[in-house]
Amino acid sequence: MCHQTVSLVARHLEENGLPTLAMCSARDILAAANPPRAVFLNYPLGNTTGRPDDPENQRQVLRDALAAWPRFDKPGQIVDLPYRWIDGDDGWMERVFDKDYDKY
Amino acid sequence: METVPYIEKTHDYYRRLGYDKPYQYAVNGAPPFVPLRKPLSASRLVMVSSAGIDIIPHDGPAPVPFKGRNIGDNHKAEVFDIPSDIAKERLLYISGAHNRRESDMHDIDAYFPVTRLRELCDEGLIGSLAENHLRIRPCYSQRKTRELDAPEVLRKCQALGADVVLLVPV
Repeated sequence: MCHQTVSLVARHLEENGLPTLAMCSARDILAAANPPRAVFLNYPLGNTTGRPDDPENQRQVLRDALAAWPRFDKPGQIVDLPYRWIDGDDGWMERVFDKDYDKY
Repeated sequence: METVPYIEKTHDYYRRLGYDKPYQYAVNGAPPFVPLRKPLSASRLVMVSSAGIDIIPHDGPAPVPFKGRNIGDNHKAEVFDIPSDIAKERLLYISGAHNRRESDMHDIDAYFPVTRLRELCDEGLIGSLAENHLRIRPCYSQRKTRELDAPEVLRKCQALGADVVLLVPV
């Protein structure tokens, strides 16, 4: 719900003249709700601005987002960041909402 | 890039729990778009977060984390101030709604980058941070978000003198 809520708010702010940028990790939900500008980080939900206990990664993600912001030239674009949650292992993507999901 | 199909996965998940009618996510056409008025290095920024965090008071008990979802109030705007100069140790993640499988939410800066934004401001990448960041409540009711919360966020951002707004969902 977070991604949808934030996207709807971003559209309202921009409609009233305030430039926005939305970060996201649920790309499909955000793309459907369609905020003016977005940066996508392919990490598990709950880590929208970087890896826990990794300040350098967090700084880099935000630096990339700020660098992308002035470069958007049309509405609804999503910039994909290149970082991976765990190098060489995207297993977390398979585990989202699987049969063991509610144990956590 | 391969990405997680969250819409499909949440529909499957809730079907397994016995809900037969899938939630209708918002599908919007082209968004509004206004250019930056000035460089970010000269702009005042407000962060708007949907994180279920609360402030630990200096002189009282810490907020109690709740289990399950915070249903909230669908009849009034729910937009809360969080001082942008607050130490992250005074912020506590209290929502029980978030799955803890991949991370336990203990590092606030991974989803509410209050410390990192101050550093980037000190480096000069951001002109200034507004006095407060804002927290909103994620909401199933799109009407509530559009008609109550979004206008209140706008009012507060304007009062804070925001030039730009960074939105961070969880």
